[in-house]
Amino acid sequence: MNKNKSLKEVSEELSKINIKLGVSGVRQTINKSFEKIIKEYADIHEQKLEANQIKNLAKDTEIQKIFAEYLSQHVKR
Amino acid sequence: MKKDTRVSLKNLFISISDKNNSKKLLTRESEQELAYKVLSGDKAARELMIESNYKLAHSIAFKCYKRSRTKKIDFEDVLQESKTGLIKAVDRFNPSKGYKFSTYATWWIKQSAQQFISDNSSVIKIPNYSRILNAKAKKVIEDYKLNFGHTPTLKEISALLDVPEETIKTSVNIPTNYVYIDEEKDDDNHSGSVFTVQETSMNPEEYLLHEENIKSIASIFNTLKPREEMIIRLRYGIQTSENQSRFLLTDEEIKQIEQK
Repeated sequence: MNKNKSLKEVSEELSKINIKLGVSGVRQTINKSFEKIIKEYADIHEQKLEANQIKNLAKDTEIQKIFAEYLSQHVKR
Repeated sequence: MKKDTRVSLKNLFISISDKNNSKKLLTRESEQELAYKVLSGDKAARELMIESNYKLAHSIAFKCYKRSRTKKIDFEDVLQESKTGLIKAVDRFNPSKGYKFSTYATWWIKQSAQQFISDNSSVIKIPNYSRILNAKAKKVIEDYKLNFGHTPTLKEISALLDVPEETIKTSVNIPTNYVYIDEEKDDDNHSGSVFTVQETSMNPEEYLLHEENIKSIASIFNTLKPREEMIIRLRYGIQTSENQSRFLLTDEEIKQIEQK
């Protein structure tokens, strides 16, 4: 995995390709995306999660990193 | 690295299912009522009091586990230890003092979890008092440096902590990083402080599960909108073998351009 970028850096990268999204917009998009990911993952593994549990897990950067780490391993091959 | 992520996800879902299995939280009144019943020897009340506070034990265990950043301990074990702490707290709680149970139990749970982590996080067993003294000495040295601009002598540390010089000497010299005989050396990085898990340490079943996890997570990522996927990739520095430009525009934006 390459170096992680801060929310601000992501926002700046996006502005280079004409996507105007501030730091909180980036954070919101990331959290919402991880909510989807965790919900799907829990469904696959038949885990029942309440909406607030999914929300809290999705916000946790440690958990985000775990999923990101898996994805980076997939891409490498 | 592979094994770490696999274990982390396993731990995550152990923690979630454990959380889901715990009973509803008690109100202040029912907590007091139950605590008095426990004091009088009611076993069913004791059980209920323990089960109702699993969420607290779980959340403290998860925090301690995350903070320890150790790869040698399984979260399941830390959770088990924190539950032992919870049981101790239930048995010793005195409701007449007027405190909430969670205030009292937090310390017992934290103590049990941290004790377990500190006992098992290194291959060399170091007594707890030595570990605590080591931490205290390090803090004293840091504070002293900040105040006086130089490192204190052994005599000064001894005076500040009110501990014999010889004990301080032993405690400060406790090793914190170990190099393993069977450790894989990275030619570019000779730091020697990272314990690497070899690929062969996964048994076939574990390896299969790991591969399944990678596949399922990758397929879940494919269900995200291109922009969402791109932002996650940017944030966590995940490269893609595909053309990055496909993420630049959303489907809607592409349609709009095509219509023009």
